[in-house]
Amino acid sequence: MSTPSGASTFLLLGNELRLFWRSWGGKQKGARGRLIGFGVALAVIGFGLGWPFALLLKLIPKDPGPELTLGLDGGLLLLLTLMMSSTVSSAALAFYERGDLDLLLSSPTPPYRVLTVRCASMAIMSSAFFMLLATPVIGPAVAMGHPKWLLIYVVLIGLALIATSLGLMIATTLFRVIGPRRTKTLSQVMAAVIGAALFLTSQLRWILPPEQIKGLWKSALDFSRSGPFANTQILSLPARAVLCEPIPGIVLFAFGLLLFLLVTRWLGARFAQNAAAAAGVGAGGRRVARGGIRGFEGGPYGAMVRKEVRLLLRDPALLSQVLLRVLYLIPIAALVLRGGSMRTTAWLMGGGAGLLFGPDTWIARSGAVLVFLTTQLAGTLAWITVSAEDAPELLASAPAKESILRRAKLTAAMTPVFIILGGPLGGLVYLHPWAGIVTAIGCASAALSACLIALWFEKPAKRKDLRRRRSGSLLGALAETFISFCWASATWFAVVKLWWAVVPALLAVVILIAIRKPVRSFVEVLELA
Amino acid sequence: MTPDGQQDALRLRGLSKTYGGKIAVDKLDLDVRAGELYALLGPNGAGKTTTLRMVAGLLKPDAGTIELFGIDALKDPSAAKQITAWAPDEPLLYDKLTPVEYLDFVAGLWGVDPKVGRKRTEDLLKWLDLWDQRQQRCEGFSRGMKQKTSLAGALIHEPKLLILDEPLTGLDAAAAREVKDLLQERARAGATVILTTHILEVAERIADRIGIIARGKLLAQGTLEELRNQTGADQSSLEDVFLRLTAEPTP
Repeated sequence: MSTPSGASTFLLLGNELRLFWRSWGGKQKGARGRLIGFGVALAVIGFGLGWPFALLLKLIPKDPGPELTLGLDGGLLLLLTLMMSSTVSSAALAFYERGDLDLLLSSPTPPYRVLTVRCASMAIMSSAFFMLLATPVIGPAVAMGHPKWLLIYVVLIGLALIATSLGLMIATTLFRVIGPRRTKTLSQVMAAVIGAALFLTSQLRWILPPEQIKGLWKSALDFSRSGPFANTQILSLPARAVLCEPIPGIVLFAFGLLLFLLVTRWLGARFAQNAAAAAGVGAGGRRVARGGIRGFEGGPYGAMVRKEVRLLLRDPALLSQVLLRVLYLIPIAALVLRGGSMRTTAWLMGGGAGLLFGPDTWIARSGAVLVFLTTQLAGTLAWITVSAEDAPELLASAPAKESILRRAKLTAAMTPVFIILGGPLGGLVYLHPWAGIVTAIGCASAALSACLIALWFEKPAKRKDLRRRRSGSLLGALAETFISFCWASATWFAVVKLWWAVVPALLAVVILIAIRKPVRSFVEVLELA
Repeated sequence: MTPDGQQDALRLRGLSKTYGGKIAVDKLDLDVRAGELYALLGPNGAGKTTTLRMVAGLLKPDAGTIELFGIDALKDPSAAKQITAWAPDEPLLYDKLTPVEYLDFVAGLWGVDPKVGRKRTEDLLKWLDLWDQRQQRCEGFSRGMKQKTSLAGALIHEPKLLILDEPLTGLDAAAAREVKDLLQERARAGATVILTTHILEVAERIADRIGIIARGKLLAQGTLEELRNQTGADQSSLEDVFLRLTAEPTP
């Protein structure tokens, strides 16, 4: 008698990808047309922008020297780390996201196969973004008669397989060492810290004194020239893979695939045990309060603020995102303390227009950066508090005024923003009252804009679904980014007392007016949920 | 008003709702007396939940009127909601909150005086056997405990009208018994309770009156005895009466 082997890997993978596609609205009416239209627009814009870069590919020497090899290896390592920042938390979530997990594990399908499929879809998703990003450059390069650059996709998939395997090993080790409950929290915090570490590394130039940077750079070059990155050495392999040499590229992919298969096979049995242990997380309760019955003050407004603040504080994924934003402040703080140049940082964080047209003073740049960060933080928190609601029927069936409840939600969302940015703002007011006041106004305008966008583009969902989907409105996200840029520029100009400040400020207001929508009532939101 | 001069707790006239061309509720007239425990029964897709969601203010009717204790719920929804509580089959909870924090929130939504809210919270949690778990997050609770916490939320503002959609779904025998006792106790205390259920024995045992709905229309209502008389099925169980009333006419 033959033993039933359960669902095949391809069937499971097909199902996983179908669910992913549908979670992005792929089955909705007109989705295919919209996607094709979006794809064509993206391709036209992307290829237009990518063409000059594709020409630059020609300039890369056939035999990279040790310096270029070191640089490319470093770039690949950064990319791997970036991919790992998402695969660590996704791998841990693979144990917790029930979805169809109970069904699959109760079927004759071997657990390692379930794990393989979950991780394969993770690898596909983490490489897809970078493949999409590479296409505008690779496409023209191939069109110019260099098909070898297609190998970059194979390299990216290989890298994603390595990142997924490492993420899975880290998650499983955490599970074993600190248990299921802490793993869930720590993996999310780790993902944020890895992302922040990458950012901080890229900003080392601004954080460390110039002499130290020069010293580090010289040591790295000396090391690279001492032999380990020579063409015949193994450390040159990743760089040559990036340059699309066939054998290194295939070796990197094969290594990724082998590691992936070994890790999923090896951890397959443990996966079933971990998933079972994760299912019990929360059972038995978690004590969060002491003493008797407190609260109950402040009517609907106070009750809503308390509830939202509690939920924000108990959401480790969200906290890690906020932590990430706080870590972004480090290079700015370093620059402000040093009073040195921060041209690139300011450019990256939204003072671009100011940098092009305005005087280059550190105080103006700090203001612009603070305004940009305000929009980032306010946007994330307002989006979560407005859209994530686990009991929408409770709100819709309550007699409390909807406007009061929404205001309370936004108050709760803005509280951490003011706590985090209050210190730097206070410091700015102390150092330079005019700049401090102008920046405070810029921050308030940016926060208000983020709140309005969160209200207008509300996408009602349960908190955990919202986190899983991470999908908001594209128009809302674009508008938020552009408006944050406008307020940052306006602040910059206003700090240096240039009347030009009116232009970006007016532009922000015009965009807000153009995208405004009526706020949906709770009953209408219920129908959408 | 009822013939004996009492005010109806709920009075629906010509209530209609259509979803994408499909009629869910069809010119429904329904009266529920104050202080009674009323069971609304019907096969799947009969329009029970849609009706109750419209009464609770969660859905806008296409036509018709809804009166709760004389208040026009469509003209003054806030006043109607003030005296109503809605408890669906899926408990309205926040997993990351404790029962006390949850009740703090719900009491706030209904504007309950803080001192009264704290006292009722303690009473309800003790009464529902949740006092020892008051400091634990709801995420670790069993289905029964979650349902009881949600019910405590529904009762924190002492509603005159309690509307429950399938309140016994997923509960074990002991928890189901507790919920049934609780509902009868609320009705005895003067509140009006309207519930839907697929468990006909429950309706037979605890309901003062029963309404049977199918294809969005009320087929019959009354006590079990009155329903038996209406269908000419003496000594029959509620199940027999229900099946006779809701049987699709054979072509």
